[in-house]
Amino acid sequence: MTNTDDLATRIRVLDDIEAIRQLKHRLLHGIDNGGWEQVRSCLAPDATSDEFGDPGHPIEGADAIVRFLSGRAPDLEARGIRSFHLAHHPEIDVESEREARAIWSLHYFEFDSDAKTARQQAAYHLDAYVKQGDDWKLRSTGLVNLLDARWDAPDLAFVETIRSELEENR
Amino acid sequence: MSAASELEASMQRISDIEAVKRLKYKYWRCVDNQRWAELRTCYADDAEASYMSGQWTFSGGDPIVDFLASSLTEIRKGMEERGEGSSGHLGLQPEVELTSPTTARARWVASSGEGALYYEDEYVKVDGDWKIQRSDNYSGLAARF
Repeated sequence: MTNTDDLATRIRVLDDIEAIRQLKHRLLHGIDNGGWEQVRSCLAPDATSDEFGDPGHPIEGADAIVRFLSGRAPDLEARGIRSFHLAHHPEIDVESEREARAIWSLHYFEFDSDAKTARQQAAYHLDAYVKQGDDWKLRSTGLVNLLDARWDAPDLAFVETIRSELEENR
Repeated sequence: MSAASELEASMQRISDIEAVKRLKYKYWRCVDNQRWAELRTCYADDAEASYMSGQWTFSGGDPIVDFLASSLTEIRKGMEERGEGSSGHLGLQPEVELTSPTTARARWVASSGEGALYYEDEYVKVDGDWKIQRSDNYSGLAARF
């Protein structure tokens, strides 16, 4: 005899895992493509992020995180730098109907067209999430750094961005 | 078969595929972070593994983890001496197939540093937890840049 309550709980957990994966992807696409409203919509109002600035001194609050990221973007662009985040290997634990945690493997790439250098960082993100209304939001990101490598890239060239096409197709 | 039990079977398949993928993610995290005790929990006690097209083969969870711990510690030491930092596996393209309620297999490709690694794995569910029963890997492209 199938216990439908049990089945409903398991469906919810799978739904939540998928929603959290989508949330992380949406957040990182927003950061990489300057979609600050999209970034803001992924964050709980009291979110904290250890990803930027001083380790152990997280940026506190969704507004401050978006301010930091959107302030940093024109600076990177002016310096001829492009960057992107790759997140993979999610280990997601749904701890209750409203709380979840995850470990993600993160690779960050930065390409400097003026200096002709490339940079790769690898880290683990230790995330906490909270469900507010019907939507999961990022509550905190902690960081464990694995490596930070830079190398010369004399032949570095950018292909023009397809950002506008991405936005049109959304 | 009733609709509810079909639904439950379908839910079980999706949950198992999720769990198998997550197990492999944990495996790579432990390998890249040298978490040997946690790595051991990824393997069945009677697991078997071979590396680089059978160049090295091992039987048993303990011998497998002993081999990985000693060889990867040695590799990392060499990399650090050359100032190259640590390794990071990026595992992609899982083809997970459930072969029974308690067994599964999967193919993976992982990029690590300058090469591609292909995995052919078998998994077994032991007391509700998926474990690696067998893992064979072989190298594809290896390029220096």
